[in-house]
Amino acid sequence: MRNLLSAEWQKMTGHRWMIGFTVWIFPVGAVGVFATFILLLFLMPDSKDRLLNAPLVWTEQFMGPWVMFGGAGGGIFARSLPIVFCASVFAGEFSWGTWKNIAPRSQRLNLIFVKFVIAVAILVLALMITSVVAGLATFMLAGVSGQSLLPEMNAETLSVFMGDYASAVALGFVIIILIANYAAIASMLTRSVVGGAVAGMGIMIFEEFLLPILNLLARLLNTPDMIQLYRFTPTYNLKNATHWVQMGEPSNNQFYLELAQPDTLLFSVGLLIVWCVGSFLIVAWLFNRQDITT
Amino acid sequence: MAAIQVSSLQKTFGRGKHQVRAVNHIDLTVEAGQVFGFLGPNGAGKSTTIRMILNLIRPTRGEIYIYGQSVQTAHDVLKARVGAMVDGAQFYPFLSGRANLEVVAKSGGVYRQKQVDSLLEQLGMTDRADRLMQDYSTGMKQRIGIAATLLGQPDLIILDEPTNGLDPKGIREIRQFIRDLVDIHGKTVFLSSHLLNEIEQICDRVAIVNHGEIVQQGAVADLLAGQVALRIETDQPQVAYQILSEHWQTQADEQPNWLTIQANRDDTPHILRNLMSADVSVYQVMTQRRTLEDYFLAVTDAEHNGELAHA
Repeated sequence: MRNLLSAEWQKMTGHRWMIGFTVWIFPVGAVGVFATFILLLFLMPDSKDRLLNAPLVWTEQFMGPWVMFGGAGGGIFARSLPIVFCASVFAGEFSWGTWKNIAPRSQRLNLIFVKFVIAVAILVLALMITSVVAGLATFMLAGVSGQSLLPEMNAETLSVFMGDYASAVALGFVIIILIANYAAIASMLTRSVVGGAVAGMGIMIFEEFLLPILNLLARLLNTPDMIQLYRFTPTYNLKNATHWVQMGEPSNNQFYLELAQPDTLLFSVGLLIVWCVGSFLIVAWLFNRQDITT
Repeated sequence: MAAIQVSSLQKTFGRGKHQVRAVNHIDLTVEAGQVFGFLGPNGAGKSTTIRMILNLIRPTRGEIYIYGQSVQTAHDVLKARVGAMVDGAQFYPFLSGRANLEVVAKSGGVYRQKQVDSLLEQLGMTDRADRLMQDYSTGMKQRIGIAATLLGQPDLIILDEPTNGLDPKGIREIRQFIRDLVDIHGKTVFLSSHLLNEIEQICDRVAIVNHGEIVQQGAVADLLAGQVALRIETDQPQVAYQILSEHWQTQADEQPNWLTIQANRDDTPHILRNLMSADVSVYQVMTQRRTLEDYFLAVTDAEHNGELAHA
């Protein structure tokens, strides 16, 4: 298994353009953005107020990268990059005709599991670096600009931050697993990198807009209970779990109020685990039963 | 023990009206310690059969055994004893030749850097091993492909078109390399190629597959034994053709007034008697040894003609 992991790491990191533009772009982009800010502060000290027109909240900067995939608007855009990466990981072997070389040499379940583990690990590593870069850069910005940092750094703040950060990392991890699974399912079905990326995005976007669709259908068909299906989607449970973690209460989105009752944290976490495991099993099943003809 | 034992193998793609039977009842035995040639025209079912042997495609029916173990149930037999190159050499274009070999070796759990280096040297690729695969010529890719099949020192090596893209010198080197694998190292090689001259020079036994079925198989020497073609020059080739084609497979030669007859040397007096009794003059008679290519075309054409006749 260690050899398989090493082979997968070598392949994914060796595909430099792909991993550069879809994964390393996050930490490199963060370095670029913050370096530009710091440079501008040095070059134009008089424009400090215009450049830093919001308070420097270091806790948000540290947690930002972990929750950036979760939002509806920018989140969908941000998710497109890891989806393309995962599609290239899972469908690339079909495009290059390389499954033929490795599939007879190992169990298919192992091959797909290792791909999944390394793809998720690389994405988590990228977010971790981005988080550290963003957090540290906030301290540097404060140092250069003389602006004070919020919240004040003390034992209590640090303790609360550690808990929040762990929750953000856990949620970010779950989102990455779901992204990898969606891209993998799409790739197994289309056997093409472009097809996998487009179909993976399609699944994500469809799920994001499922609530209004269900709402409309429930009204049109006069079946109000239909909307309850939304409670079983990953998107709803991610948002609900995030809300529980951050606010200590279930999500209060106005659409969600139409659901029967607010769901507990345990319900949402349980559902997310089922989705993560279930979607991986679908990937494994699809790969295991298919004929490798390319 | 047979290296490969295939029985009643079938593969059907699609359903209903779109159903295509790619492989239909193939029975095949490849004994250990020989080079076995697997021949057939495009679309005959060669690649599908090879993919089923490698468990890349599930058979619709039939059994495949490698050294007595079913590939469908004992997956480790492929990992432990088989090295294969299917559909030519296909690798990760963004990795070097060396890195590609490392990845394949690691995927099979047989990674040893020394072996990778040694194979690169044996295949004459040491100097170019660190160049990206996308910059390799087809011949260089083929060499890396052959090296990949030998990772982990498998007993059975399956090669699909191994000499594609190689220059004549490269073809000769690879031919000798494959022969040495069997003669010196005691391996078994299952070789699919459309270069029949290659197959004839290198293989101990062959199977000819057409329309998903094996139409002939046996030792190359046995298949070609007594197989000669007669070429005759006559003043009335059309009359001669009518007379001879009743008894022998006859075709017009590339040269005018010449006919080629698929017949044994012993048939020569009968052929001449038939022509002379019809007052057809014969100026020259030449015997020509049939090559595997002639034999292959005769077997596959006969099948094709048979089909047309039935239609």
